Amino acid sequence: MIRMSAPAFYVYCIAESAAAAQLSADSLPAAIEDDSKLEWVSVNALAALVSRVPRESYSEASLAEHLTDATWTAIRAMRHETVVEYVAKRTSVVPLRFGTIYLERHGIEQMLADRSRELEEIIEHLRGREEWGVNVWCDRAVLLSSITSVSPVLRDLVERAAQAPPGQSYLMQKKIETLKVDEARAAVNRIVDQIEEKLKEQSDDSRRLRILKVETTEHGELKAKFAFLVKRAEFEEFRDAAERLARENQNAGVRLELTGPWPVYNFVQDYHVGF
Amino acid sequence: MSSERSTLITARPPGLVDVLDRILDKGLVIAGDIKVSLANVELLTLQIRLLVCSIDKAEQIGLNWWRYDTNLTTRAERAEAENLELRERLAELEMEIRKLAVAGAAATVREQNTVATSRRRVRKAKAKERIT
Repeated sequence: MIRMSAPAFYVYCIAESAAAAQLSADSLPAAIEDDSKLEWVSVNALAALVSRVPRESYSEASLAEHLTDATWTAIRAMRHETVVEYVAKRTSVVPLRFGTIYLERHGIEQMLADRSRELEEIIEHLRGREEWGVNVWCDRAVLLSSITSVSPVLRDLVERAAQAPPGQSYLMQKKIETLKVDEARAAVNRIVDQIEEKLKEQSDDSRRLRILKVETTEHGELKAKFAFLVKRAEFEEFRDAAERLARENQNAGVRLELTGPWPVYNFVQDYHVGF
Repeated sequence: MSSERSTLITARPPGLVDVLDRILDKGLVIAGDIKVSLANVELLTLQIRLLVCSIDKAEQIGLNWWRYDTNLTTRAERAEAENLELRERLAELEMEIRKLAVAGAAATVREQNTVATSRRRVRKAKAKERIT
């Protein structure tokens, strides 16, 4: 335990008390701060997983300052994730956003009591379900080289340019290049929409996630990011559908990446508890 | 149903950016006692992304999930191959040393035997001289 004048409580997630009782404190992963252990705060059917943190470094002012320190945040973010993931693998859980802090244990108990109906509803809604991330990448060079064979308009233009006199051929070539870019963009959008639609059919819910500006790797450029809510029992079908889509779009330079299973972060968004 | 994973789809341990996108930006919002301003999540994520670009730094802060990130497996694979090669060379060297040690020990024993025998011979000879 941290020896400090007044601790605060960092809350990771909320689960059912019955399930929490099965997860003995000794086997739980490391807490967000060293020298502190995870503990359950339980009220009736609900239990919040918390750990003590020094009140000084988790005050509004110091948190604001800490969050500008990438190293500090990266470490805590990974610890938060490890904890929630551990619980999510074992029971239905409501993952909380980073930085839910109570000054008194009593405050957590109050929140659990006041919001028990909503929290139980979310837990019920999420039972047996996991979040899967699908990232769609596109290798522009592969797409551009294959786009001519895909687009009839382009194919026709290329054939005519080959037979045209040099001057005219040059102009046509310029037009072809512009058209290629347009057609490629349209093709990617079509493929991304198709992936979203097909995987929606295989899942209970879906979200399109934001993309950061610079996300380019050896797989090409990141074109779309999705989160799907999938029943654990139906994951095989979901994965098969994703694999089919990956095979179908491989020639267009499109690559699918499946990440997960995640705690259901993206599907507890619409609930605001405590406001 | 295929139980084998397609090579096109990689279910990998989460990368930091995917983690941050979720825990800083998503997850249930419960108003606790402390207000946390995560208004500039994008900037923060980019900043951290830059930070973990340095693998030494990532390992230093204990983010060893990094090893499993497919974006970096080539590096990990290279390290693994190098590791294997070094192990082999180490094994060879150990064998060599063992051989040398055995040969050395045998040589010492032989040498000692020779010395002992010659000493015995000398003693015997001296004894004979005394008798005669």
